This record gives sequence, C-alpha cells and structure tokens, in this order.
Amino acid sequence: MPRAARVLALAGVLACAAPALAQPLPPLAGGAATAPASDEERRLWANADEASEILARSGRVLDDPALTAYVQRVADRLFPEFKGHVRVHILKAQSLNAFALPNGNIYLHEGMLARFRNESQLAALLGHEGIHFVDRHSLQEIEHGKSTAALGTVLAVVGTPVVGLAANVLVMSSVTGYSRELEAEADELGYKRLVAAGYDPREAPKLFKLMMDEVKASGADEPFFFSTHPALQDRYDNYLRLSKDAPAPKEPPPDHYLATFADLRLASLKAEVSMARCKQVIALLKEPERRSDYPPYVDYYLGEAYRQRGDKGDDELTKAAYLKAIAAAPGFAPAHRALGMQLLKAGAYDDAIRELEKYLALAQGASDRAYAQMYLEEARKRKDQGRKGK
Amino acid sequence: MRRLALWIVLLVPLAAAAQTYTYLDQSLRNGGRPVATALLIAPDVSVSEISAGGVVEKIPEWSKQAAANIDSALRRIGRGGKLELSDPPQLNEKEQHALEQHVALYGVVALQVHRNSLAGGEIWAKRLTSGLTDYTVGPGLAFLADRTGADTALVMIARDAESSGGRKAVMVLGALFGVGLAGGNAFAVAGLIDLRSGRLLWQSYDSSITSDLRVEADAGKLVEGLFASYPAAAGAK
Amino acid sequence: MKRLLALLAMTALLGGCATYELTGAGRTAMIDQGYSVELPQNWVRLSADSKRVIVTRDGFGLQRIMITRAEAKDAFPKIKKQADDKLLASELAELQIAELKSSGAPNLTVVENLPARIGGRIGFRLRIRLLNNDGLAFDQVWCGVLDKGHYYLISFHAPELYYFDKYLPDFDRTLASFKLT
Repeated sequence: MPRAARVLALAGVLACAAPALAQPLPPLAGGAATAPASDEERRLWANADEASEILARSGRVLDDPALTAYVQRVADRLFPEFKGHVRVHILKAQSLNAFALPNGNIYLHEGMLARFRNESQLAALLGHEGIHFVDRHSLQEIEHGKSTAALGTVLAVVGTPVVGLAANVLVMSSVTGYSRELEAEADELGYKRLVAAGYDPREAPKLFKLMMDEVKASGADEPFFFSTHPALQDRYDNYLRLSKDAPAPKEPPPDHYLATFADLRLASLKAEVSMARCKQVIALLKEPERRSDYPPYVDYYLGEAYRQRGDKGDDELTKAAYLKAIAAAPGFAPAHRALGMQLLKAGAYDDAIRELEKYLALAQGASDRAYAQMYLEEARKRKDQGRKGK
Repeated sequence: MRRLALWIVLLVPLAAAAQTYTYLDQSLRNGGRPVATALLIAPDVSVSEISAGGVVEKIPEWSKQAAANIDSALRRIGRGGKLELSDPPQLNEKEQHALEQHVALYGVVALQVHRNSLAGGEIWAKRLTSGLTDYTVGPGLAFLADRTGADTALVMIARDAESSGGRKAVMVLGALFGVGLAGGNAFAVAGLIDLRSGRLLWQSYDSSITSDLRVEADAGKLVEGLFASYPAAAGAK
Repeated sequence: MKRLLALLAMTALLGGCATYELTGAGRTAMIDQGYSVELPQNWVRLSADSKRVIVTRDGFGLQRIMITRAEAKDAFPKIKKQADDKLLASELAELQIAELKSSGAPNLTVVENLPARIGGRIGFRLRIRLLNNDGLAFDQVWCGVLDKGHYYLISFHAPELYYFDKYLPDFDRTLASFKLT
C-alpha cells in the first residue's frame, strides 16, 4: 500500500476517536520520583515494557556496548535528572527513524545514526525524543491511538505481528508520531535541553534539511515518521526558527561522533545494499560531504546500487563505480568480484577472468567463493567456445 | 518464566464446534505408565482488557491475580494425587536460557497440536491418534530430570480477555474479525513434556465464555476441566 | 485493518478453513506449473491451494516444504524487482534475500548462500535464520531457479531446535527429485 494511503487509512481510524485538544499533563518529576502516576499510566508503561521485551528478544536491538554507551551518555547529558530512566537502544533497522516509548526507552535506527555527522545532531534528535517521554505525550494521546488498524504497520517495525496495546504504543511512537502540537513541544523543549547541555543548536536544522533532501531524492516510500516529508519539514522549520541568531556554543563537548560510528555507518550501508534499497543508497552517496565519511572503496556500494536499480544507462554507471573503487583501494576484493561479474555478463571474458582470478586470490576465506569459482569457469568456457568458433 | 508472545493470536479462537480437546501421546494411549512427577514451570497467564476500540490491552495487576489463582489451582490438583508437582531448581544463566528456549518451542508445538485438534478435519483427527506425530521439544531438558528426578515438566498457558464499556468480548472480536467464534473469552492449555525425550505426552485445552480468571473459583474450574482428561496412575483421585 | 484480516485469514487457512490430503508415493505432477516432484510420503498437504505445494508432517509451524512458481516479472513484489535471464545465480539469491528482508524479516541472518543445481539448471541455495517474538530461532532453506520466464522457489522452514536437522533430509530428497517439465 503506498505510504500516503497507509497514513490516510491510519488517520481515518484514529480520527474516529480524535480529541479536540490533548489534555496537558505535568511532566515527569525526575530522579526517584520518575514513576507512573495513575493506573492507566502504569498499564501504558507495562505495555511499553512488553514492546521493549519483544524488540530485545527478536534480535532487533544492536548488541554493541560501546556504541550504546555513547548514545546513552549523550542522553544523560541532555536529561541528567532522568539518568537511569531514559534508556537508549540502537535498532538494527536501516530506515530513517527514532522513537521513544512511554517507559523511557528510546530507540534509534542504525540508518538514522549513519546519517548524523556530529554529536550535536544526535543530541538534537535525542532531545526531541526524550521530551516525548518526560512530557508524557503517549499518555496524552494513547486513548485516541487505540486502533486495530495499527497491527499491519507494526510489521514494519518489528517484522512479526505484535498485537494489542504494545502494538499501538509502537505504532504511535514510531510511525504516526504525535499531534502536531506535541511534536512542536518536543522540538521547543528538546531545543532548550540541547542548548543547556552545551551542544551546537545550529546543527539541528542542518540535520533535518539533509534528511529531507535525501528522502526527496530517493523518492522511497517509507512508513516511518522521520522518513516522511511533512514530519521532516516541520522539524526543519521549527529548529530553523528556534536556532535563528543562535551563537556557536562557548565550550562544546569534544566530538568523536564520526570516528566512533564509522563501523556502524559502513554496516548500515552494507545492510541497505542487502535489502536492495538502491534509491536510498544512491541518494546518500551522491552527497560529497557524506561520501567522505566512508572508506575509500565506497564507490563499490554505489556500483551495487546502480546495478540493482538497473535503469537505462546504469550498466555504464555500475562499471564506472567499480573501477573507481578499485582505483581508490586495489586490495578491496568485492569490487573485483563485482566487476568480474559485470564483465562476464557483457561478454568481455578475458577481463572477467582477470578480475575473478584477482578476487579469488584476494579473498581466500570468502563465503561466496563457490559463486566466483563458478563464474570464472563459465568465463573460461565461453572464451574457449569463442576461440573454437573462429 | 516470560510470556509466550505467540499465543496472543488465540484470543481470536478458531471457528470450531469443540471447545475442548485432549492430546495423548501413543505411549500413554497404549496403557503406558502414567506420569507421576512434574516440574511446574511458572504458568504463563495474562488477563487483558478489550478497549472500546477493540484493542487488547494487558493489565498487569489482573494478570498477577489470575496467575496466582491458576498456580493455586494447579497445586490443588497436585495435592489431589493425580500428579506430584515440584518447583524447578535454581538454574544458572545458560540453563535458564535453555529452559526458556525449550518452553518457547513447546509454545510452537502446542499451537500446532491446538490447530490440528480443533480445526484439522478428519486427516488430522486420525493422525493425532495414530502415533505418527512427532511433537517434541527434543532432549535438551534432560539435565532437569538428572538434577531433580522428575519425569516431566508441566507447562501452562492461560489467557483471558475482559471487555470494557459493557460490550461482550465475543461480539467485539467476532464483529471486528468476521469469523464465527465458538470459543469463549478465556482459555487455558496445559502440556506435559517428558524431560528426557522431550516428547509431548499430554496436552489439554479448555475454554469458557464466562470465566474470569481473576476469580479464584473460575480459575479453579478451568484448571479442573483441563485435568479431567489427565491419565493419572491407578488409585489417584 | 486489511493486513490484520490477511493475517487472520492465513491463520484460518492454516487451521480452521483449510482442507488437507495425505501425500502418496510417486511423483506429484504440477502440469500447469511446469514441474513434477516426489514429496515425502504420508505427509499432509494443504489441498485448497492448487497452484502451490505446501506440505508438513506435524503442522506447518514445525516443518513446512513449499514449492511456488511466479512469473519472472512478479518474482520480487516487495522490493518491486523482476527476475530475468540475464541475472546470475548470485544476483537472483541477492534479490531473494532482499525480498525476505522486506517481507517482515529485516534482521534475518544468512547462514549459507551457495550456487545449486535445481531441476537441472543453475540456481541458488540459501539458508537463513530468523527469531520469533519469543526469541526462538527458525531456519529456512530457499532454493530458487529461473526457467523459461518463471521463477521457482522450493523452501523448507522449521524451528532450528530439533526439527530443522531432523527433517532437512526429507526436504533434500524432495529437492533432488524436482524436475522441470
């Protein structure tokens, strides 16, 4: 179903019980007093706990203590009085998204983390998400989000059916988002936290601009809140307004973001290629600023994306990208295999043999040797057949 | 023991004439020695409320009450002589994980037995009594038999959905999902697993339209219903 | 809502409203699907579906062998890609992995990915692992091949604990008997 239709379908169901105005609630107190204040809120947290357990059990949470500690440290800097209550996790998911559950668990998609260029951008997003928890936005809106139509879209988050309130909690926080007013409140109050923690507030609109541009360029249809243009446009507009005339911070915290997340960035790119998300990969790697965040052989992944896209003229773009990767990193084996396969398909058997032999020499323990060996034998056979035919 | 996520789908019961069934392994069918001892794996019980919008919301305090009721009812069955129940021993992390994995596999096995018993038609009805089936969790829990001397593990799953807003749960579910509902809003399934071989020896299912598992008497009645088919040793009540 | 009903329809299909038959000895000819195969004897086949072969011994959640055929242009609907003769076997496998990841299993692990001869033609054999919501691992083998504009998939699904290794030989025998007609 196209995203627009999905959103409309959800909106239609949610509108059945939509409130005229969300009832404002005092924010959570912080410290030892951070606890549900009513039976309804206790149940909401319990259902959020269930959603969290399912995410953890089904292998979707990244088990990387160093990276998790890094993002947690940023959250603790933003929300010091909620240390131990705001708990950040990284989800093994490549789409652009992040969400907070009513129990204080915040989930950042790998795909989102792969796009940040500095710690201030991470802090901008965590600041926004943390406010959804602190200001109890789920409780304000969950009655109106209780809809069975939510089930289908939860598949996109966890991959298997989750039913009941746990599902609604997941969908509201990660897919539909909250009301415009509450999202704006998360921007405003999150921004204040960003500044108070010493981060550079001018990075916030930059982040959302880059994401908007990428979503537009890829033209991909994603269900998640942070993957949709209207949500990103609102964030960009709000943060631009808030940070207008903001000075650079006097003593920003040291920023090791790019170096720390280098491996995750590459893993995310590989995962995107493995899911044939070629539009997203092409949109991402077209940005010169972003390309420099990847290893020198990054054009191999661009080549893979062009090959998967398979539009008219993509054969040439594919080959050119592989050659560029090889020129930048001659020892990077996969580029030789990929080029060898392209050459085999194009009937350039001598060149294919050269590249596949190089690959097999470079990648002694590769799991796909059987394929490469088979293609090498095929190229040799066809070359011989060509010779005999003369 | 954590809750099995898989069984939430059974809050939409399959359309079927029967609301109960019992599965018996061939070894017990053919007059084999009935089981005498079982480790009682903490029952997996949850009570939910169906909201006005038809969404199933787990209520922790209700679930805790229902779990306590089910546990009491099971121990009463144990004291009655049908089956000697004991608690599992303290386990280390690796052993706990192994137990959870095997119980999770039981959840899958039990769901197949359930589906095939209630809605499998003649083919499955014959097969379930033919001795041809392979319902097992494998031999990975034999360490528990070695450690405790128990023959089997008793696993129990119970779910209850109470409607809110005065609407009958059955009608809400039926109207939303367009399936004819023969089952009730509460069900329980109990299974006995041979600790050494892993074979499923016995599984019993019962459902009720009127049970409220938060009420001790209702929980007791449902558990008694399950164990009515239990092949106890001679002389047991 | 539609997705929920589809999920329940599947539940019903595999349970309440389905019809079953027992598999016998000899070849099962799927003439209009372009293949024949020897299925494990005395297994249970879902007979309502005439275009696909879906068989189990104890229940579809415990072991399931499935054979399907799609038009090459409809081979990968989730990722909106087609299969064509120019694709190498590893590229076909790559698209199948992407399709599975986009079909509700984004975090599957590829345990094995090898070229394989299927029905006399070169295709692929994948083994993947997924976890259900209770953290239980399920393994699947997916064997795919293209022939005359059709994409054939022969798959096996079982919990990794006990069932996969026990019934994999039945799947391998079925796979070995698969003949394109």
